[in-house]
Amino acid sequence: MSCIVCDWVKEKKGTVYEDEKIMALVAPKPVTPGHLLIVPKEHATILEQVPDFVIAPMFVQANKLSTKAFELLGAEGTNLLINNGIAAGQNTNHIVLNVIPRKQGDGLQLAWQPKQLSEEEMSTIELKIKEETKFIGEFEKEKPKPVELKGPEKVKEDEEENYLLKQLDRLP
Amino acid sequence: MEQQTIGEQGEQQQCVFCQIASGGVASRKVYEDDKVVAVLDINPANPGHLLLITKEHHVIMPQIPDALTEHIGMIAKGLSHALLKALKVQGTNIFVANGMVAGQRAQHFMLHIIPRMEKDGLQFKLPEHAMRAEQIELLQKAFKGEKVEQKAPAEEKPEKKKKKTKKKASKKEPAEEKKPSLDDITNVLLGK
Repeated sequence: MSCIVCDWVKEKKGTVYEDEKIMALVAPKPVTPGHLLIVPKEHATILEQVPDFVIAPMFVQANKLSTKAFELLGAEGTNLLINNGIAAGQNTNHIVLNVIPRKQGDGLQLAWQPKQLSEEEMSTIELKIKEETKFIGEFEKEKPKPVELKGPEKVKEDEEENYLLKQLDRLP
Repeated sequence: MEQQTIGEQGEQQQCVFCQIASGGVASRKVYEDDKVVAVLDINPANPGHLLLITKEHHVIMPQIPDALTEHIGMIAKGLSHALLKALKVQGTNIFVANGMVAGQRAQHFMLHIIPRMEKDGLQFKLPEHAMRAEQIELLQKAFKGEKVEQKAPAEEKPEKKKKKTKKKASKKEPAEEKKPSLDDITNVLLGK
């Protein structure tokens, strides 16, 4: 199945910013004037699939483009929104960070009705979440690009590798 | 670390979220490191709704230095993953409101991580509009800080457009080339 966002990246459709890892483009179906999408260039369906070293520049650009929306478009506010999963309203199969410029009277309602939970429910949830947040630790770093080796040298490396593996095989 | 002014210190003492971050006010913390704290929202959109706040006082996200912003993004991803595993929910929303108009309620930056289930009654209504090629080009130029000629919309409906432009582009003098404002873009978007 083809990915429409990957197509936009390839076509550089409506680009306002681009680097090695991410692209920011004018939303083809904007919610407000100046609505931008920030996407990882490499395909990722959900947020958790985006490497940390790509998430980082996405958020930095979200800030820079928000500032531009304030300064250049006269926006009075901005919203950042990521819809992670269909239940969260995700409507493309490639993760998107929305930067939505806001103005008084633009008619957009992004509020919610707070739910009331008992102290017990809150405690249970707190404990459950803490069980998982303890795994938040080191951030993924970009792997250094592999060094390209020319023909004969490469074969030599393979031979070495095989030799080492064979040695391991001999271990009792 | 920048030295705080007395004013800044006073601000932080009055800021509930600075107090929450420092532990001066009770909260249900689910994550903490040297830069940020994540707590359960006491008025959640859904059970497990988290607020990720910086220990340093910042009002809106664009004011936050890049290094800290990167940290926030990566922790937000980690927290989203934690919610999915802990609560077995079907999705998450990451949401930031910069400015009152955008729905910002407190004067301390916070990033929301909201767990989602299908038919949970929550909906971020995002009405979509169509965009024409020239409108996309206008916006591209705007974000690059380039000046553009306001010819295209004026040509389509000369009388109507002139009136509206004069009303809304009040501060700037009418000129052939100027940086498009949100109002100009709105007009273009709505075909006025």
